[in-house]
Amino acid sequence: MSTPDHAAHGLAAAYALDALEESERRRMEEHLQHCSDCRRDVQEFRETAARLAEAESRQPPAHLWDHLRRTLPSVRQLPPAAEAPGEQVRRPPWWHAGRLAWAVAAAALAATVVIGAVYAEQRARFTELAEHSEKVDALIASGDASMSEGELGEDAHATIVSSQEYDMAFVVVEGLPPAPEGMGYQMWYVEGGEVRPAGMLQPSEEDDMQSGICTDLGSARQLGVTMEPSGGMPEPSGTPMIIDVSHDYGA
Amino acid sequence: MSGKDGSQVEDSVPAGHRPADEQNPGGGRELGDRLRSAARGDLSAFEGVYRELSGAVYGIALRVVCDPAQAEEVAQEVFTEVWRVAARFDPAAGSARSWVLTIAHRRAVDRVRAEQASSERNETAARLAAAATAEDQVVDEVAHRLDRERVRRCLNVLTDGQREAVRLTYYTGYTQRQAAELLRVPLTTVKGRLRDGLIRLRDCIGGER
Repeated sequence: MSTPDHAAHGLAAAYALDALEESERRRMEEHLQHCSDCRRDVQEFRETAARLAEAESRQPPAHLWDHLRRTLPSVRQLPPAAEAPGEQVRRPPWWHAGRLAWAVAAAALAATVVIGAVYAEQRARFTELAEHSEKVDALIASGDASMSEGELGEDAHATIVSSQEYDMAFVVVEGLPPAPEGMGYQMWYVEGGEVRPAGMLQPSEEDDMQSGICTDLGSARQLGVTMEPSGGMPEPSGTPMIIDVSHDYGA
Repeated sequence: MSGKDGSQVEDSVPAGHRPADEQNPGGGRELGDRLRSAARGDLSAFEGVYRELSGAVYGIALRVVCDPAQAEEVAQEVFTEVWRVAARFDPAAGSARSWVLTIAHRRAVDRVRAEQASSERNETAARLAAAATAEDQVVDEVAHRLDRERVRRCLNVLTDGQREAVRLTYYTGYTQRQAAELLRVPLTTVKGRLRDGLIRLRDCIGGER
């Protein structure tokens, strides 16, 4: 551990009052991770500063709430986290669990999962599935999630929400006929000329829908889907139906 | 309760205003619960947060940025951010009130500094002048009189130097380094005044509601 930053103690008041230059502010934030005395000072000073703010109270224009009321439902929210405060979540907590299976939890989640105003009309597709899984919430709410969709084969339509940060994609496909007994739909990563297995789609409670989560996306730009035996195959047995993962990679 | 001119004021206080401590003892915990609900998308719980804090958010924004249109933009940014990251609120790290008002103050200051970076010296002088007279222009709302009085009284407990340091930084948005330059005193002097001043304020005003 580096030498404790003793001089930083004296910055607690200025920090709480937002009176530091950017570099000092960052230095203080680093220091606060190690110094509980300063954390306590900052907390107390902030409470005091909050009283100063309250003493300045003025009635805002009425249309301010009006505007917020209309725009906030489209504002993506950070999901309520299960991890301890202060921990930085770079991957969803279940990332490290061995084989990833798409699980639909029985308990309905009250959270509104919103992908963005632009995609509002798509929300219905995701809401039912997303509402049943916090795992998907994390992906959809991740800062860099991007969405793409397109036709899969002749009758099916796929929607993919992918995140480079989490290195995964959530795939929903509508319009695939149910696979026969013992068979299932398998996903494939397509990178350059190479095709590698990306997991099985699972039928959802909705008749017409299959969904799955692909991890270890790497630099795959396309996903493919074929019908295979339900245990999956190392190579596709036919030419996969292809869809682009994201238009935003590299942006 | 009666208004300043003897007229009857309704019990339901206008948006953004709440009675002081004694009349709203449960306010703190309630606000935290509302934030927690808001984090799960409960807009009506969030409206409760807005009603409770919008006055202070807008008020401190206005005090710092001086321009009502900009203050309104800042207030909107603040509440949008609070909605977006409501899940980050950690009751163990402080009150919901101070969490929101910290976001508010920082946003206001960031905006002023962005302006300052591209503005001329006469703008600075104008802001200094505005800061000095702003206190006189505060609208005297009945519901907040107790709070204002306490803060005013406590600000008077500070030395002139301490009060000025707080005014230049917290209320006007200068860094302590900039304040030192403006006052032509060493940085360490301003640091000390800020720290001692804030300690006195803390002890005088008292802690969390």
